[in-house]
Amino acid sequence: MKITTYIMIISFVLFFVPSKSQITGYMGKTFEISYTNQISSGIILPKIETSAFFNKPSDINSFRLEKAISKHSSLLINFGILNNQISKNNFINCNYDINLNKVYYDAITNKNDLIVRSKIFSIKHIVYIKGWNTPLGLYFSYGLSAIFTNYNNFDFELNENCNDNYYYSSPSNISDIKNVTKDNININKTFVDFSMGKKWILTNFITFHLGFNTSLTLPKPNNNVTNKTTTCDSYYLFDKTSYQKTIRYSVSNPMFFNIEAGIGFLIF
Amino acid sequence: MRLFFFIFILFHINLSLSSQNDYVPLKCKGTIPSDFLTSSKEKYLQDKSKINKNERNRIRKNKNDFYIYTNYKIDFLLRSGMVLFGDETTKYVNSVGQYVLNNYPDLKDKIRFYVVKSPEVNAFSTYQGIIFVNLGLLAQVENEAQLAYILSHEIIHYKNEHIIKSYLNTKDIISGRGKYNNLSLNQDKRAYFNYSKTQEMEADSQGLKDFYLKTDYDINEVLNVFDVLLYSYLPIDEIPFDTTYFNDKYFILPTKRFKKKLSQISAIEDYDDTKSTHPNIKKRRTKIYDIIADLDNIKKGKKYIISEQKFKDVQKKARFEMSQLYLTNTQYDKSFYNTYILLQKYPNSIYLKKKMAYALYGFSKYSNYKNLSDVITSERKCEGEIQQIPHLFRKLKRINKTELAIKYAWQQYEKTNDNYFKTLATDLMYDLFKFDSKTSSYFIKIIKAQKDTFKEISQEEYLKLSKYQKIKYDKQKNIYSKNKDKSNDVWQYVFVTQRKNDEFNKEFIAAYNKATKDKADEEEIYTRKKKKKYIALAIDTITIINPSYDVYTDDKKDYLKSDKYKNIFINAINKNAQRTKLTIEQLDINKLDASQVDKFNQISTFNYWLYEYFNQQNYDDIWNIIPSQQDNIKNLTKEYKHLAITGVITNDYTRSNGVKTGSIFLSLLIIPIPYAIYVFTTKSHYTSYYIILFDMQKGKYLYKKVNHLKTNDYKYILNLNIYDAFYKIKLKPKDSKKS
Repeated sequence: MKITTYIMIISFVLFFVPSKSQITGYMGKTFEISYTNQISSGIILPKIETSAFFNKPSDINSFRLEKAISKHSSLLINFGILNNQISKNNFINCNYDINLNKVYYDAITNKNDLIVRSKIFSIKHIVYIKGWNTPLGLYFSYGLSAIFTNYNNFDFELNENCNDNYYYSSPSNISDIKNVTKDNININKTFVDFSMGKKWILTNFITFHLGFNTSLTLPKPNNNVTNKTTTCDSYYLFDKTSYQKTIRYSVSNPMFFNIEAGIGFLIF
Repeated sequence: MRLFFFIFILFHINLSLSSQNDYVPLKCKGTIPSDFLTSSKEKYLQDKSKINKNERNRIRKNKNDFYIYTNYKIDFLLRSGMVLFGDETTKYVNSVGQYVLNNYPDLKDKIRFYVVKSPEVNAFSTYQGIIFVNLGLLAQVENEAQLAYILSHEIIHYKNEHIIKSYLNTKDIISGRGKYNNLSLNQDKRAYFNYSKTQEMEADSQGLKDFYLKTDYDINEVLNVFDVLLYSYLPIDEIPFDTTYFNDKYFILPTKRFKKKLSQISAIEDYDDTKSTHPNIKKRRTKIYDIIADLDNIKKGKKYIISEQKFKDVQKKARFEMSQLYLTNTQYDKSFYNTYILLQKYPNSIYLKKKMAYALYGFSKYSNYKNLSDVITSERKCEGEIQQIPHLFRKLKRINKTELAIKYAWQQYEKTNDNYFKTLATDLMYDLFKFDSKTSSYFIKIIKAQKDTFKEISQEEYLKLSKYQKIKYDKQKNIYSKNKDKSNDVWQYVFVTQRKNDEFNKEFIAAYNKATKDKADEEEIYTRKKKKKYIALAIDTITIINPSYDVYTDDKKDYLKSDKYKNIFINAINKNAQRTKLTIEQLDINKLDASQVDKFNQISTFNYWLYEYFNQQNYDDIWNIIPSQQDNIKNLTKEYKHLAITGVITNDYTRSNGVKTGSIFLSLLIIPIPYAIYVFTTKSHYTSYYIILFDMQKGKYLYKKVNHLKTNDYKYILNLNIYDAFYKIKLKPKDSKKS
């Protein structure tokens, strides 16, 4: 059985398990749905052997369900989507003199930016600190997150009549270069989440929250990244190794630290 | 038939006699004066309109502040349940006041007199024309003429606008304006006290000339007033305490517990008054002597003009009230002695016996749970005969105080059959067994029996005994010698008389069983983890008394804001009550009309009960004691079973210089600049929400929620707190298990 199924079952059981504590909620309301945006900087923190450090800031758009389970705690289920826009310009090998092969360069930059989409599923236990009641006030939370990413690896190939030997027969036309999607790659990771924040309310119905979130990767015995043994070869114009590493890090970096802000509604 | 009629008459006379002896506490009567009902804001706006717009800005601002402060403060006193109107004492003070003002019809309309339930020997006037006279003063003044002079003095304070002048002058001293420029702190203080003393001297002399001398009162009584003031710290009389007061046929309180030599009364007229708002008595008396010496003809005046009988009656009432007032202020030794003095004259008064029983109860309770020093005056500060009381109760052991209190309360219960005494006695019996394990000593019959069977033998006879006989003899001798020590302890005879009563034995054993069970339970709680308690009170109706909303800025109350937010708070209470389906009745003096004096008395009684409750208790640490006024509210508990007090206190503090400097240093890192701006432009906020629900029949709290938050007072936090409290009050235990 897949890990997602496990998480779904556990969260379902927890969500509907009868609580033993007194729930007062806000004027009797204990169930809240909310939309949250988690923004993190595009800085790639781990070392990558290219100039590719800066991506566009990535954000996680989440839909959340929160249910009070006691006076000071609630259970939260989070469904999020992480969109990573990765510019291919970053992966032109810096060892190459671009002017030497203008065609190659144009071929790469002309292609649209790559968007890597990840699905995030989290389950958290939120604790509202003393003095505040669920679902308002200062809180901290801990929980588990799972991120599921599926993307296609790609590369550039020359048409059959061309040879990529730089010294002998460089491509003279963009049409000589074709974009090839290769194997389908899955990146599945699990994290331990910690977050802190504060929640306010307006007109007894609309809630706002602001906080920060940090997630640490759980060690995993078998990594699904298939070509992790790829080495950097300065011979090629397109740095495939750093491209794949960047995708991996662009998935985990927004999770490592982000600022979250959201709007929600107390339903019942 | 005739016999029956005769018995009926006899029974009726007996009843009416006993009810005559019983003192009934003072209550407000008639229609409620507008002073009590007009809102503070309305009074303030009226006063504000009098401010002259041509005056300097600073003076206008100070006057505005003064009007806000005085109006709200005086209204707080008027609605606290401590001010009386329409009762015998107020009527009498009014009639004396009106007589003094006979020649001033314009002042007659402006000045109102009210009596305050306070044991302090004091009277004070306000800018608004209200003159308050404390019951403590009425208990101590010797005659009507003395009272008339004190009222004359207070009228001058009002007539010459001393209060506002003093306020503006103090503001000038603080800000160092005009002649107060460049003064040191000590000079500032001296300037303040000197100004106050000048006003007092003015009131003394002008009060005498303008008012007192125009009446037919005796001039010599003016000089006697200063004796009343000089010795006002002493009780109403000086009667030696009878060392055999607690003795009965079987029990004799050891006389070694009493003080053999009492320190003398040391008050002198010419005391140092540099740090006092009033001049010393010698200076005041001299000033009066001078005025009298200048008079051409001194006529022999009267001590009483209104009525001597009425004065005596008012004085008696004030003295009876003093016993309760001291109890309310947790000055149990003073209450005890005041009651003792009155009991000499009125030995059958159940009212006084109740106060006496409660004072003893208070000594015992505070020694068992708190600190006896909280309710007893330091012996060094005591003078005269009253010293005997703090000395005795300091010398008595903790357990002995409890025993004595139980004994007295049960004695009175047997005589009067009043349940108040029984409640106190049974509560103390529980404490007796909870705090002390000396239970066997009360069963003196057993000890006596053991003592009788043992006979001592000489050394020669002892040597003749066999080995086993010697062992048995030694054992018996050991038990005997132990019991012999115990039999010397007089305290084992403390309950001999009471233990003849079956009801006493029943309560005694029940208390013992309950205490031992509770002890065992406590041990169990310590050994196991504490169970989480669900609060589900299943109460449908509660009464909320005077909901309050207090806004402070740097510890200074903002009265206008508080008034404004109070309405928001009341709306939030009603809204959350609807959502939780809890029925709420609000007792608020602001909502009464002039004819609802009964309701006013009810609110006053509760307010006064709460005043005592919070003298004894602390919001954070509520302990087990029955308030002395439990007896006063017993008739109201049927109507108001569950009474709640609730309120919000917000305080905004300017951030400390340390935090500000820190933020400047941080802002050097550029990113925290917004934080530094935030620190400089805002204040730190603290908000506290509280609700305490009482079971009025038992006089104990049922539920307490006190929430301190470091945040602004947002409306949603208010709702969050109120809903949570109401939900738990309304929740039925079964529902709680389900949820």
